Amino acid sequence: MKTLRDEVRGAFDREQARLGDVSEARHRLVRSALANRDVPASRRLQWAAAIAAVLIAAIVIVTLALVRGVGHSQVIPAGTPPPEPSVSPTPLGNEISVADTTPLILYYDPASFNQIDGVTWNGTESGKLGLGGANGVVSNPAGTMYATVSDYRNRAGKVVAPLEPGAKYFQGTWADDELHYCQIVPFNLVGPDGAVATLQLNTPGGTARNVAGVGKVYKQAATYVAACSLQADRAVVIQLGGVSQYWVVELSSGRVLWTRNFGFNTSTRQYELAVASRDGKYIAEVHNSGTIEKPTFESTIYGFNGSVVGHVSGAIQAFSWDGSLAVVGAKEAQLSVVRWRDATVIWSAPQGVWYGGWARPEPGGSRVAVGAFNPANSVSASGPEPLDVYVLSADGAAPVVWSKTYPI
Amino acid sequence: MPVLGVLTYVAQALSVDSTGLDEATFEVLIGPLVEPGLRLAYSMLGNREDAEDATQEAVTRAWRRISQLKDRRHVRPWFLAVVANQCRNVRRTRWFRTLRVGELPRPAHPVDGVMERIDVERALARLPMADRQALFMRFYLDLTVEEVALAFGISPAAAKGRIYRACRRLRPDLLEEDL
Repeated sequence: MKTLRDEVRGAFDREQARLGDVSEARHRLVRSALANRDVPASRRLQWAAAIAAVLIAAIVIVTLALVRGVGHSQVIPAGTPPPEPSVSPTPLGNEISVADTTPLILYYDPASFNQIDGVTWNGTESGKLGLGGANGVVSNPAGTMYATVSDYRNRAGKVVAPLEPGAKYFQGTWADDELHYCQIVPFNLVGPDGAVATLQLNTPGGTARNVAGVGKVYKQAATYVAACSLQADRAVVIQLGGVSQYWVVELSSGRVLWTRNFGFNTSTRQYELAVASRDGKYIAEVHNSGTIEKPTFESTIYGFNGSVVGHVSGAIQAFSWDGSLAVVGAKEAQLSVVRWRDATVIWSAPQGVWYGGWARPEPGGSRVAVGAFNPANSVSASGPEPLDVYVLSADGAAPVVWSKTYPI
Repeated sequence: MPVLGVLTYVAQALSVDSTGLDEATFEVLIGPLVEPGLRLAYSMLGNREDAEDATQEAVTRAWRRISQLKDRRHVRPWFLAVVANQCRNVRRTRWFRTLRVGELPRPAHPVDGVMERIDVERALARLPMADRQALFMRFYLDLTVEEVALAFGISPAAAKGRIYRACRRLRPDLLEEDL
């Protein structure tokens, strides 16, 4: 009799048959990976020269100070140290005890990925939420309402409403009023020619309202809502891939306020990116003028009516709630937070870490939370990758409110 | 003299990788695991191009993190954990969630009427990703329970429990001794 083990193996065999021949992959992938590894030798020499210069300068200064008998102590600005990892061997046991409307940052409990915890923006309160091991949780900006793969829940874990019929998972973007969300329908790819993408506004358990038809849902493109703002009465829909374009839409009327094509960089063979602030008042287009191996990112910021309002060196990944701060970073590039109007760098991450693909604006506030990928953090196959989370204020003198390493 | 000493020290420190591992040794260590890693990535992402990108990135990350590998005998579960983690990173990106989720491996069409086989494939496709990963490592890549445990960062008993529970989801009337 065939055992379940044989059947499972057979099923995986059939799945893997679709992968095709992989015999040449080993050498090619290792070579390509090592070509991109760590700091290249030439840069290493530059680093050596730079560090040596700094050390020589330090030695000269110390020597002069000693010789001249200068007794003043100098305050040397310290760089941001990496956060301490969360090393508790047991999951948080206490329920979070803050008002239901207090904004939280959510993370997976480091000791149990089946538990979702929350921490306040000032870092003083943390505790578990009533969401258990809910899969694929997408919370609203304040973390007061959650979409799972099957339903909407409140912070206590109580189911508020099921997902809409036809939705395999939550594909929307929560609005800044914490109650509504915007989404693009149809949810699934429709035939080879695709279908018109319709922007909808809805609430959990509510009836969707069609706002406007913008873009297309088809196989070569991802069409999604980048910003949904009841406060500013606008949404931003981005179509990435194929003909890349974005539309700024007035939610109340469905009118397209302005739109821009952005595109495909023929020299790097990469799509350019567009990032919107939560209210859709600012949109950053990110362009790579270098190569894939050595990218040089530049961001152009478009304002309320589509005119250029700023430029930032580097790739903008997110904005603060009011749009004044931008999180700038890319893989293996310096991660920083800048006040883009006057190009003031508010904060720079420690050397050797880079943007980890996660950033959140504080709802109604000026702080931003940024997740940094740190190669020193250990990994596990069963849970999300831990990121160094920094909560940063606009205060250039003391920008780091707190930092900790969390699986996000 | 101190300046010269500092210069020499800096130059030496930066010319050697912090792990002391050269490329050839790294390739000997990781090379044989690239194919299993690619297969795991394909099982999680359902698309060859994405699977190759994820595996290549995992190799790069393995190079940077090789100092975390305390015991080289455990390199297989360790590297597969790096691959799985990279795949999870890919799956959480907006692009992937929007475009690719609909293309994840689907059960084959019923070609020869073997309903039992189809049921297993459908049930496999519906399993939570971590359970599916555990079955793939145990039954397809033939990792031992201890190696699955190392990859997941859990105890062997917990790994065995996870595999058993995943199998029960495929076939609720399964007895543990049937595995």
